[in-house]
Amino acid sequence: MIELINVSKAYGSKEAVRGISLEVKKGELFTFLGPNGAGKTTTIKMLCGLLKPTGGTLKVGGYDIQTQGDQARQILSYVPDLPYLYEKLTGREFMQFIITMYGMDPQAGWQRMEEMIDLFELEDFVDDLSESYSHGMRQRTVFASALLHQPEVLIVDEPMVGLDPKNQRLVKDLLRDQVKKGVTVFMSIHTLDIAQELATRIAIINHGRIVGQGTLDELRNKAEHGGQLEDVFLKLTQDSEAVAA
Amino acid sequence: MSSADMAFTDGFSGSVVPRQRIMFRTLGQRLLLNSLRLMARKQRLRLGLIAALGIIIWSGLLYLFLEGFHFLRGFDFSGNVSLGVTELIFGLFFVSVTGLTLFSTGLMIYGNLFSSPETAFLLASPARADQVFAHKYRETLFFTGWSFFLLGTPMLIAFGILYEASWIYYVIMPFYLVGFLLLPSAIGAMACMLIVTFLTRNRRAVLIAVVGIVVIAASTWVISLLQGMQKDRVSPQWIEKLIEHIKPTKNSPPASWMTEGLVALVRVKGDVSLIWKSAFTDKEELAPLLDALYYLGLVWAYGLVAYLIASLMATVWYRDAYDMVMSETGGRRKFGASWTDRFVTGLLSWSDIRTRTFVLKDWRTFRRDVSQWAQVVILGGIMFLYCISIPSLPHGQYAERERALIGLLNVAVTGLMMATFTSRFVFPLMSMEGRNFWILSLLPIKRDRLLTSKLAYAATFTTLISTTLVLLSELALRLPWPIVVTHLVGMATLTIGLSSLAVGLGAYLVNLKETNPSKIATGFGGTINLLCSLGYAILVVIATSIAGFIYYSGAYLSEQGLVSFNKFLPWLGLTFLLLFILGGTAIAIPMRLGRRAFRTMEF
Repeated sequence: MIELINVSKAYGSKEAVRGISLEVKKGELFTFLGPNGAGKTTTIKMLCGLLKPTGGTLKVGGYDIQTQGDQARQILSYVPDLPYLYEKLTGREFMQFIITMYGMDPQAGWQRMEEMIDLFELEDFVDDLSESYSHGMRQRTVFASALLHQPEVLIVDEPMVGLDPKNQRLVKDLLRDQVKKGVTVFMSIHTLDIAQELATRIAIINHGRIVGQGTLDELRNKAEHGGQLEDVFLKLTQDSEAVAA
Repeated sequence: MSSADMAFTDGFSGSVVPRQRIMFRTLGQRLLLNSLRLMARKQRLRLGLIAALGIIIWSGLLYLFLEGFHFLRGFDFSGNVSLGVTELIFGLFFVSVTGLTLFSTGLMIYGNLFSSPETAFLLASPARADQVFAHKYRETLFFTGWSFFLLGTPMLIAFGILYEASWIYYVIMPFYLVGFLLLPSAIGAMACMLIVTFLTRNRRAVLIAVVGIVVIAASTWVISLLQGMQKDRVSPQWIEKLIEHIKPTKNSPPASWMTEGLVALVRVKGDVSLIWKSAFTDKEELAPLLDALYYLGLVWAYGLVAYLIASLMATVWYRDAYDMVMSETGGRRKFGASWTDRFVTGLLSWSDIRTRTFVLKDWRTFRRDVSQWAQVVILGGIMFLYCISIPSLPHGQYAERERALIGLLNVAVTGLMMATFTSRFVFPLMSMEGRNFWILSLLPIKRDRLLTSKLAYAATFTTLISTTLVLLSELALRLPWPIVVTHLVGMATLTIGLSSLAVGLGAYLVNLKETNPSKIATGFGGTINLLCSLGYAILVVIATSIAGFIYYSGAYLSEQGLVSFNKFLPWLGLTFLLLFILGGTAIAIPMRLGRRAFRTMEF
């Protein structure tokens, strides 16, 4: 469902992503891990078509993001680390905007919106202007909007930042539920225990290169370390630092 | 077939563009409506204030234009030239607006297209690049156009009233105003897109070159305009020479289309039955209306074609350009290597180290933002033009008192420029701290110091620039030192007060959600600040003029041996006191409001 073939991205003379290749299958929850500045957000932005790769190919749902970007974006949803909401729109008005944006049938879209309002418990504030929302309320509204058009691919960047335990639980349940329904989830996250808990497969990126990829057991084998994901992550990133040095 | 293919091939075939067009139009309307509703519900005072001030300013402008056109109508050197002079003034006005709109749209659309969080959100969605561009272009046009409407509508209504235009004039005239903005703003947007797409590496150099060329071209034009006029007083010949030089502006489209069209429109008779009959009989009667519609068509056609080209450019290049801007690193900077930083630090050596540190932070932010300093260069260029033109003005034969009046006008003009400058660049300073406010608020210093540092920053620069300009003009006018001192004190009082108004009101009416300084300056708070600044500038100029009046009255009466000049000194002292009171009030009230708001602000 998601395919990256030898993808690179340079910011001037600085190479942020260096020839990475990945494949995420339908219905997988793929977590993308890495230290700060490793190239995670750059990769995600290339997947959404916000940035163009310096080299290589990115495909979402079989569509080449560079040549068929509009089609690719039609089947994906992106929830960034700092999600955007129009301050002077209510949550409901924002969702209605999304329904039109994705060309949904208005009646079906309205029905779906009511489902999302129920699922994310937005009823109490969905008709208030979003400028009055707390971080948790914003995040719930953004997730509800992202799922309105029933995307085939959900790309999430740091979804747990600033969320309380109840909202974290809500997001985790939601992601599991989406995967059960066959949605492909590509998630970047720093909270390794959540990654370990949710991920079908994991990729670790450091200095723009993939230093490990696979299930947790496959990563343990690669790291030659049988511990938790945190230990495996530190071992693999340290090893790659040593190689780079 | 997948849902994506459905959306782009059969399910929504041919409907994606109209759907998105309607969607973005609805979005814009809803955002505007919600903002107005919110203001009407929670900020009635604010809304009332905007409406009241808007009406006062609009009415004042209408009165001024009526008087101005009336004056021109009576200005008869060689037969009836009044309509010809009015045409020239229209030409000059519309040429100036064309240039200003082109630049301001180009700069503002850059911020709207490439550094707004909204565009990042939209570009990650299925929104088409041209529709995102159109949405942001409309927003930019709204922000750049309102001041044109504030100035343009009273001018054209006054023109209509004075030349007894029919109702048809008032119905068609708004379409002229709206259509006129399309061409320069679309060219500004095109220039922005081209520069971003094709001049990634040398963008800064290109911008400097473009601004430099514009300033040099305008300077050359003004110098050529003033050459050969030095020895004349304002006379019919002087006006005729001026008209000869201004004539090219009258013939430059779209300004010339506007002028020709509006002059034709004012001649259209309002009798519909007569127009209808004329269509079959006397076609001469129809000529003004046909001319007016022809030029209106030209204005709109060229504007829409330019917009279409800009839109096509966005379809092809916008996403690439966005990627280029986002992929820029800005390069590494060697700490302490900038001579401008050292200059600013030296300039503020009178202040304490913490104030200097804050000022340096603001200075670095400013000089690294191309869209900010490019506007300063344009404003500075206009001031430079004005400065170099002073020695060439026809003042050589004037008496000292008349030259002193020109000097006072220089203070007034520089003051008005400074009011614009502080509203555009100083007022947004507090709002621009935005999300970083928590860092500043947690620093182990009093919050008041942040305000005083911004005041020190603004007041130092504006006072230095304005007093230098005034001093140069006073020297060129060969004015006596008491008048020079009076004008310098007036100018310093004016600029320090303007800086204080902008900093104080900037904190009081802070807008932490907006990241685009142009929008902050043209928003509610910025407008209030501009209006207060203009009012304050007028009061200070009046107080300065009183001082000049007392000085020359005293000099005249003592020359006649009627009264000793010394008897006027207490009155002169009183006017200086009046200036200090005005300046003190302009510092105390806004800074107090700003401090109070800033102290209680939560982050």
